[in-house]
Amino acid sequence: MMGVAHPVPRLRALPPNTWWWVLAGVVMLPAAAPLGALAYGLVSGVVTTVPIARLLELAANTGALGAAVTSTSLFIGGASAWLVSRTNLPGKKLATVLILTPFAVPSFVGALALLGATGADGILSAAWVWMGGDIIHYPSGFWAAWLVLTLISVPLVHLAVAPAVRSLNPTLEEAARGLGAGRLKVFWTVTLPQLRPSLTAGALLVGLYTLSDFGAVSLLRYDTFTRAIYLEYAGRVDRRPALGLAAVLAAVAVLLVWLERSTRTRGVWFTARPRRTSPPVRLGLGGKILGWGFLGTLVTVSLLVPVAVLIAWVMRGLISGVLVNQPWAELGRSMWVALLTALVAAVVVAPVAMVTARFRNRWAGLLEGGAWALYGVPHIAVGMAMIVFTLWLARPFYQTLMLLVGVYVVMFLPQILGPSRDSLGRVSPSMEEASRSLGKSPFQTFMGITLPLMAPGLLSGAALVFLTTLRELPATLLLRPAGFETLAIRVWSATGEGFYTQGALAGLLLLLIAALPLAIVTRHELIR
Amino acid sequence: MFKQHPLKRAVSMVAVLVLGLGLLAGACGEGDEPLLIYSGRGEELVGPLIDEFRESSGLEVEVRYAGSTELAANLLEEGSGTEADVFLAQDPASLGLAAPLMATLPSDVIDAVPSRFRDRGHRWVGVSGRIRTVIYDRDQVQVSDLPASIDDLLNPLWTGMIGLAPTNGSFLAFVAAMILDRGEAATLEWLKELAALDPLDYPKNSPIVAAADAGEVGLGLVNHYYLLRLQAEGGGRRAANHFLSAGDPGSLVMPSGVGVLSGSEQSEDAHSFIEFLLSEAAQRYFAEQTYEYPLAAGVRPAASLPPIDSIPTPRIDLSDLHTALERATDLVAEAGLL
Amino acid sequence: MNSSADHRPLAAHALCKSFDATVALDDFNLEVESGSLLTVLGPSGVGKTTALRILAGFEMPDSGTVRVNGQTVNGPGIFVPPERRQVGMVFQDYALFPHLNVARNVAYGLDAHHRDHRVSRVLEMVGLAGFEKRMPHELSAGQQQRVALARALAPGPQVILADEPFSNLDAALRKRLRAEVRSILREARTTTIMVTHDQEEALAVSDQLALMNEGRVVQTGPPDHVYRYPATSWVAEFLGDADFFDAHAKGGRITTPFGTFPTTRSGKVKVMVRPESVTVFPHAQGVAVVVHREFFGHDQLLSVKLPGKITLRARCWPQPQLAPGDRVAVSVDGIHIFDEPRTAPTPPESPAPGAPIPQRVVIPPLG
Repeated sequence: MMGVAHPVPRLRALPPNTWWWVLAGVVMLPAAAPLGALAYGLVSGVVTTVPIARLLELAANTGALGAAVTSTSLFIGGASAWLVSRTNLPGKKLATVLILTPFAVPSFVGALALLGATGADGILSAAWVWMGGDIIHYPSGFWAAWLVLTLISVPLVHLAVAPAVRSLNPTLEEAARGLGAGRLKVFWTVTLPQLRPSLTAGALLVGLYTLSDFGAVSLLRYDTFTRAIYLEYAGRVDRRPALGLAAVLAAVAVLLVWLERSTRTRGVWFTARPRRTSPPVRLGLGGKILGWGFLGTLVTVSLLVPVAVLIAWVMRGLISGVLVNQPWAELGRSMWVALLTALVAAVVVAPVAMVTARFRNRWAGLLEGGAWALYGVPHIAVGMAMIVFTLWLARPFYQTLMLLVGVYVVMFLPQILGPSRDSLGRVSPSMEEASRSLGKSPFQTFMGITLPLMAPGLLSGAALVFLTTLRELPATLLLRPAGFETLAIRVWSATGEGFYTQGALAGLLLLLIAALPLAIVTRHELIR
Repeated sequence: MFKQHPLKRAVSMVAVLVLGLGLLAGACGEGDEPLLIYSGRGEELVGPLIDEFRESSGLEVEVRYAGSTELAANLLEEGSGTEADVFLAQDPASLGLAAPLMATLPSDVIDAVPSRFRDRGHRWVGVSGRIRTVIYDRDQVQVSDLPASIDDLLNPLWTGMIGLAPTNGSFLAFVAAMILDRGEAATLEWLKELAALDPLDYPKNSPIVAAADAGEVGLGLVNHYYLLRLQAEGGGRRAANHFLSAGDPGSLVMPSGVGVLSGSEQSEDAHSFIEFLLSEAAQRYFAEQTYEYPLAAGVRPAASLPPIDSIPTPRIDLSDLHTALERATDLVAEAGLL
Repeated sequence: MNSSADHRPLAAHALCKSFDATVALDDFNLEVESGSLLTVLGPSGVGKTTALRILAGFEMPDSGTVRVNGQTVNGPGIFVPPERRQVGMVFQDYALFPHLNVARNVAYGLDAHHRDHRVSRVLEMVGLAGFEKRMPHELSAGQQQRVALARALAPGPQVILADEPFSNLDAALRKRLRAEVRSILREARTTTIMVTHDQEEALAVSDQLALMNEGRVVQTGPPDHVYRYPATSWVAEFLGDADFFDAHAKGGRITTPFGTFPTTRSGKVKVMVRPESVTVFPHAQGVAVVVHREFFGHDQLLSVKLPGKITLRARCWPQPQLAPGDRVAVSVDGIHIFDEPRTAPTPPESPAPGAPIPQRVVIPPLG
């Protein structure tokens, strides 16, 4: 018997989890600001200042682009996911890496590559003329935006669909074949329905992405909501039309997010792992050549050509001596602000992850739903909302770095919330209780047990936040402090001004530093 | 063999946190307030000039680059609380918008520039001049067919051959000048007829010039200096500038200009920045590097350019241009050109 | 407050706890003697785990007190958090920290002082010397279990609480390990409270048994005592096999088809017979008929039907070989009589203060 009774301190009873709630609430409170400003914009801006015909025109344009990009990327991404996950195609690992890498290409860099490839002085144009052809005209408008956004969206679809393809339940297909169905019928009646939830999720992700994209549509001049918001903002003194349009766009986006989340939970049954995985489909030599032909074309168009065009422009600039303004300061700022954002997000996410992983009630749902809603709201809308909000109500934060980082964190929180929660899900509460019963305080327990076990999720989430911050354009454009030009801003403004050489160097640097976190993020996908 | 003591771990964690917050605070840290310039002219154009000013004056200078109109609107929103000291814009309309927030400039600064390139109320002064021109492809377009006025542009001959940058500030300034010169209805009519010719649209002026040089378009509405810039880079052999002779808005001479915000606590430094811009060195920079018209210090423009006084310009006061700017955007949109 | 209660390693008094509409604990009382192993036994959902979590400090009771070594850790206005209770815990899922190796897991609750020495001492005690560097996932279930025990023992807590510690193990391992754990605990002279729903396990390892039903402890005592003298028909039925039938007591005796037994009661009573107290032998004129036989090798279980719609089970040697339909004679060497419903005369001895009073009469047959 260990004997002596220690004087036991007496504490007022406090429900042990209150602090997590308090912290999570404090952390998520700023998220209310943009949502509030947007709600105000919806009421004041739209009703009074936006002609309904303009609204309908923008809705039609945006919807057409969304539908086109979604359907084509769904088709291409679905096919690539199937080829990589269900067949015996050789070199699948390499293919996966190459297919997923365009995820790191921001849409404005894609647009730069397209603009730099075509037109009178375009790289591909020059090559084509050299081969005896005509100049490839500047693409602009719908088709240009469609091409760039589709190529960038394919990795999103691939990521969403590949796991579902891998975990297709072979017994269902075998049962159908046993009942006399042919291959095609099995595909339509058994395989496709199993994939439908992941395809739907991928489609909604792409739709949301297209809806929010600003860089490509503004550089390629296709008249969607995001471009119209910026034009209204940049060309008019009255801020209400821009805020009004932003509010409409935000409302549509929130609706899409809601749809996405509700299909995701309903998809659970289908994506449950089967006991046995399907044997790979054996492709003959012809099939392998076709498969590689398809994937090769995809990778060439979405990755190799754009990178080659950028490199060619940089070379051109080096040779002609035009490349004088080298964006090293921008590189430093981009990396620094992305690191800072990732760090702050990692700190901030902890209480939100704790609350949403450990408690299943209405408040946790509200907290999580709020985070996701903001994640879906296009950045230009958040930027507009925060400009107005800080100008009117929080002047000391107007165009400060603190605000910019805060907005990044709030917008990208779900990217780190998801993986952190997954990691946290593997920490059984009994581990924390074990730590408590071994004499550790809640803080010590969090530091010694919960945090280390959450670390892998935090790390990959932080990498994702880092990546997203690097490639963020519209909110940065609106909210950055004076003189805080980042690589993304540099690419955008240089491309807009027609200085492709400068833009290409900044774009290449951006791709290089974005590839690193991408490697961390996609590691899971590759290992599986 | 054993893990770090939790307290140590906590300490290191707190250290990381403090470091992070420190970084954040450092970023928004107080210090000597630098001279803050809102520049509606791109970094590629004026960056080197500002670097030179930094060096020669020893002042700390910070620049926010954005569109001229956007910055003017921001200044109006920010009101007297703005941090900006200087507003450098590429067109008189933006300067006119922000003029209510700007302080009167000393007359010795103002007098260096001809009166038609400065504000009536002496709140902004032009630093360099650009002229709207028609760029054309000499291989496609006969000199005899070249338009004399903007109305000649509406000839069906040019269907599908005209290059435009309808969202660009200088095009909008041109439209604003037309509104002042001819009225809204006539301007809208002109824009609609132009739209009916299926012009090719471009994001900026420079790709239009490149397009004309490559034969992608026959004509383009641009500013004069893009061609000279292209020629300096070794291109521009096929395209040529054509100056409209009718004295209509198509040959608008548009100064870029600068003013000092009345709330500025560094108005002395701001004035020295303006003096720098009007100095011989800076004016020479505009003439030789950006191929604009110098407006002060007796510096001569590039040799291939006609003298500024030989260009007939519309009879409008540039101080009023801003009053038509927003309508210009509306009309461009209404004509379906946006 | 009497002094014996003050020095108990752990004592809970009148604990109540409800979750929304569900009552988990309703006047729960428990005390454990220093150095002994007390098992809280009861069917699932009866509040055992809630009780344990309150003792550990992971839940707050609605009312009632908990004292550890005489110090109040739960009481009116008092809540001492788990880390200051000196109460060790062994979890059902072991809750080993997956990112720490065995040594670090065990050392987790220790100060830097004497840490290495204490870790090797405890690991030796549980038979895992040499496993220091292994990670939890590299261990078998039984080894993980022993690491969890070592970790809980290492800081030398006043009492160790174990929540279904053997339920994640397969049957063979469970039997071996519970003997081992018993001897480890005995060697460490630790006071332990264990929770289980497994009667066999509870009977095999415990010094004291606390039977729990509907949120409260219904009987405490040494296992053989509780088994032999169940306080209520519920205890009798839960702990081991039991057959019941109704009978009438008159004039100081109860007459059954297998004999007459003395009693102090009169009126309607409930009679309980355990299968092992029933002996069966073939007899052509026997009053009973075999209706069912289950053969287990080392013994057999016979169901026999007696007059008056009474069915008894008899656990007996593999011999005699009987088949359904055979006539047999039955002798019973002890019955338990319960009042119906459960209200009770005072019994001669009282096993533990605070526990409800058991009411049972054990009667050898007459003649």
